[in-house]
Amino acid sequence: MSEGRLSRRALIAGAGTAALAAPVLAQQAGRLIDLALPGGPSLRPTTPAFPGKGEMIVQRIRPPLLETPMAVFREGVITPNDRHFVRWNWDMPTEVKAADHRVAVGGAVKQAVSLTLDEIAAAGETVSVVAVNQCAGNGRGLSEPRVTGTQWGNGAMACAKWTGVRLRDVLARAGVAPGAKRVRFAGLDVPLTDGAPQFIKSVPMDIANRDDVLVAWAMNDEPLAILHGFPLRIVVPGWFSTYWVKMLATIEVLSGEDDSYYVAKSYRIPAQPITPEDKDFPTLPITAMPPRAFITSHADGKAVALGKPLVLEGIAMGGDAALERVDLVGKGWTIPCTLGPDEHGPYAFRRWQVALPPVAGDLTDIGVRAANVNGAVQPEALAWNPSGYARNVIERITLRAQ
Amino acid sequence: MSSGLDAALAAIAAGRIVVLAGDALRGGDIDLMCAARHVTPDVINFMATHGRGLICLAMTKARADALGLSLINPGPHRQTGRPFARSIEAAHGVSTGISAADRAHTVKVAIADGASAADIHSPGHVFPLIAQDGGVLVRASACEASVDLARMAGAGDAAVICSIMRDDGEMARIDDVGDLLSAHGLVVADIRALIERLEGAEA
Repeated sequence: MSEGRLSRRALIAGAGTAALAAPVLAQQAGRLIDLALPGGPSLRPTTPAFPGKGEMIVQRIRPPLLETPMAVFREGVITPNDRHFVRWNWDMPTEVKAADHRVAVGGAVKQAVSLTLDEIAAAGETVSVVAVNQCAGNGRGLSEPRVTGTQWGNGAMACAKWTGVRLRDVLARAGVAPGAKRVRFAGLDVPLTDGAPQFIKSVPMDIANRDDVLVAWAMNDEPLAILHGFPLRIVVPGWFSTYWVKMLATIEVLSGEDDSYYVAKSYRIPAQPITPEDKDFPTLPITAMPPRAFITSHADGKAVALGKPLVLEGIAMGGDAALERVDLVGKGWTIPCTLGPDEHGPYAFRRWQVALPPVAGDLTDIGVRAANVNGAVQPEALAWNPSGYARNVIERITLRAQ
Repeated sequence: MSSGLDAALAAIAAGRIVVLAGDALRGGDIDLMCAARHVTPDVINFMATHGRGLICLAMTKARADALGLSLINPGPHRQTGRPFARSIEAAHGVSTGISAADRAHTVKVAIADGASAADIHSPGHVFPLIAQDGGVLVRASACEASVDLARMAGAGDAAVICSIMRDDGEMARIDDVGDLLSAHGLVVADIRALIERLEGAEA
């Protein structure tokens, strides 16, 4: 990706987006996939008909909610762009003209500016970071008891290499005023109805100033597709993707707290563990991701050969810190797993595998447990919350010996 | 904000279905709404198809009294807080009561001038909700809002509402219904905008 000349990407924007019309998609529905949500309904249609996407699980057409089938995670750690999950809160434009796009930087700044894509690219060093992009509600559909909201399986996550400039270099173009507390982002997506809140999110100043928080224009060395926020998105490695605002159009520096809806009222988790009967409990914004691990080689209920050795494998991540270890856990036993190469830094997926001795019987309720270098470990029991956020319980499966 | 409300009032006056959003008491559930006097079998069929929730008849306390209806659970600890009366059916002119035509007929009978308890049977397939006097300013919910909107549109003082359920079985939120709105040209009335307008009028 050549530095500097982003505006030439205009020709890619909007290509094929006529296919986003629902009647077109209805004609091109693929098979049904079972997300195995407790209590159901857990069948979802799949479709390859979204522009630039391969087979995806349809949670909603408009605005799009497309889940990645778990089979995509069976190999490698980088999710191909055409299988990367899609989640929009509101309708996004289906065409963006790169040459006309501007990012307004204002609020508590010395000089408000309106930047072209080329000016953004020239604001500082071009940087790449490989990071997992995960929806705050990933796995919500697996909650017990059930919660409202998009009933995702575990496929609202993906890992990609993000390329752009540092957010702090873009902020420097306007000059952050003393006493600035937060940086807030808005995109081009617009609420469907009057009175609904715009999707805007803010991060604290110290996060905004991190080396690896980016205004990104590329994912896996390709320009962001429309469905992934062409031409620019925020990337906050280690934080849930609610902060990774797409189709970035406004950066506003705040000198106080953020009382906008999606910060003050939504995307919040209980400050202390709660039960489903609790009401009116204190909440905190959801921010950093905890560790997670998944078995990708074998699905729940699969048969394994009695008397033969067994190799299990999968992926894991440390969340907001590097992955330290993965263990296979069963009823009263633990077997350490071998981690794959650490090639992409602390915020990426890593593969793991474990070789088991000859199978003597069913492997009941086994799971993998990830821990990161800060000591965070996946819990045995779900940290239930009524929004189904931040799922990171050990995912248990049973394999039948035969 | 007010342009959405005016467009909704025009639609309601013209007998069309609108979407109600911003119910403060039902966790974000949204409803299809039509003025009761404009309800037809087509309207009920549309609600049963695209709403997929319970089809309810929101009415004033005065009308409920005339029909001999009262809250099933009048105590302060109603489980859901929704002001249901016992379910009703037209006493005559329906078969099993559940078809779109039967339910439209039950609505028509219940809101007719001079309708009384003799005109309806219970249980039935239409679910009355009794709105608080004082309307949406007293109870910021779809039941009161639908009665207020029908009145403001000059379309009587009763409404049929039906909550919207997604394909996956969860209740829809306003961000789920983009396709429904554009496919059928539906306008959204936001209850908070209605409250603001009524409070402004009172000031």
